[in-house]
Amino acid sequence: MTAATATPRVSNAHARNRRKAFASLRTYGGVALILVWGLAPFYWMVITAFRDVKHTFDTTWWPTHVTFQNFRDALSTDKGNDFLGSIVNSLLIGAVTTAVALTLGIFASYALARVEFRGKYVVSGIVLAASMFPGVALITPMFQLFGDLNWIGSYQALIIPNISFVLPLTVYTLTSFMNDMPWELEEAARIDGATRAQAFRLIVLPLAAPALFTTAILPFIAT
Amino acid sequence: MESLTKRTQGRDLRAFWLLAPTMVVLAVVIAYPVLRAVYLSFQADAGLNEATGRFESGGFAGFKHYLMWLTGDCGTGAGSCPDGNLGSDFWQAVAITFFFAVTTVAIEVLLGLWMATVMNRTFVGRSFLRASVLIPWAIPTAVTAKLWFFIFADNGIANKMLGTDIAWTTDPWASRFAVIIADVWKTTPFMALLILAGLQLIPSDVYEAARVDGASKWKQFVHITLPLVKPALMVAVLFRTLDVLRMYDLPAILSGTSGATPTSTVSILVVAEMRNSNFNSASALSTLVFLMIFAVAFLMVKFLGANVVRTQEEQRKGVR
Repeated sequence: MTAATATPRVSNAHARNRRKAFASLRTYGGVALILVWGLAPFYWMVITAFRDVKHTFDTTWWPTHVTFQNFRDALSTDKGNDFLGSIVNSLLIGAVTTAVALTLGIFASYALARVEFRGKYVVSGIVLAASMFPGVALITPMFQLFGDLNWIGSYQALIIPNISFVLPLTVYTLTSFMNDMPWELEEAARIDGATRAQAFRLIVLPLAAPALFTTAILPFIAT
Repeated sequence: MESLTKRTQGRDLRAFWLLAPTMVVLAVVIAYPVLRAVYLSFQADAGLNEATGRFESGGFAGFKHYLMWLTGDCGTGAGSCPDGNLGSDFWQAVAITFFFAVTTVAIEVLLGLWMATVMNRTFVGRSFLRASVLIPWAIPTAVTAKLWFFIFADNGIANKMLGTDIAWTTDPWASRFAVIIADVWKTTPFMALLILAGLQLIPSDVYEAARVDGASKWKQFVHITLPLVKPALMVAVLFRTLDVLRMYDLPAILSGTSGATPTSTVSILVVAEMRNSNFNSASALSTLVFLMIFAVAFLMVKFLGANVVRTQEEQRKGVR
């Protein structure tokens, strides 16, 4: 590309077209690679799912010994599994976790990004430290704690730990987005007589919407 | 003077109310277990008291458990732990954990940057690509591990494709690379997505101006893309590092949960020690892991600028 700038301005349209074609070839080559990356192992999982149990470790590229038995087994409830019920549970827990984590995260990151207060670094350090202890070591004491509260088997016993696991990342991502948001807009709103809360609701929130959406995907999937 | 302190107090109060819900949730679920683990780590194991013939709780143990992990001291001096004892596996687990952290995060950053720049271009089916790239990240880690377990089986598809006969789950280096491959596959989309979100904030006229000034694509990448995407990238790198230093499910499912496999990370060692019912020394190990990760995070925030917190002055000046 450096060479391209050295060529005279009157460069013919032919070369430009070729360059364009090359660029789009590179784009679609990259797209194809990413697709294979994301989908190939997944394809293998789907194929394995359709294989008869005796042939799980077969290595042909297309589905062989096709059977739906595995799906029947997974969906049937007579072995004590309730797959559809579990899906509903997962979706419910995921949705509540995301909503709560996002709400708490917005407030916390607004404070970290926009309010000047003492102990800012300490607070951000504590939030970060919350994702430093080995997760496997948290489970036993948590189980004891929820056992004392009679929470075992309840939704809140799953939702509250989940919130706390995704909250540090949510707060940090949102804070870095809010840092990049221009100050001038909020200041203009304040000068026009908006309160701080109004400026937040009418200016910051709409501007943060795309970032919020990205941030929402992360906790939802993580739970 | 008085109004100034009043204003500071007002701001402190507002920040307090904004942050309080977050801190409460973190306190209930994280602080309590952590403090309990720290307490347990200084307790001696309960045992039969020879003199009284009673089963008694152990009492204060000082740094006994810590010394066992750090120096392999099982009561009679450094390095006295017998072979079967997990105390002698600590340093190897630490080395493996850091090896995983450095390799996976480095690969993920490079691949993630590349993926994000590809996804940021305009082309047909862009939203389809963005959705499908999320699939690896959307699959639960345990399922990912099982999926790669099938792929890396002795007569599985990986060996067939490569035409090799590698024991991906038992050979030391092969199993380490199996874990790295599986982890990179799973979490690169996470990197790419966070970087992409940062890329989309860069206005296109910046590139326009650079092109007019005759900057090459590479120069645009180094001098525009990288600095502008750095804050988002640093957050992603920081959290990936913290996660991979605590990695458990992938190596556990791919090559076993014993503390002495070639892929045992410190988290696997914690669980292995719990399985031996040594909760006190497992707590000591957890605390050591916490301190280790804390040190890493501190260094990253201090020297790589991974900190997201900036004062208003810095924000106005556009310091990143």
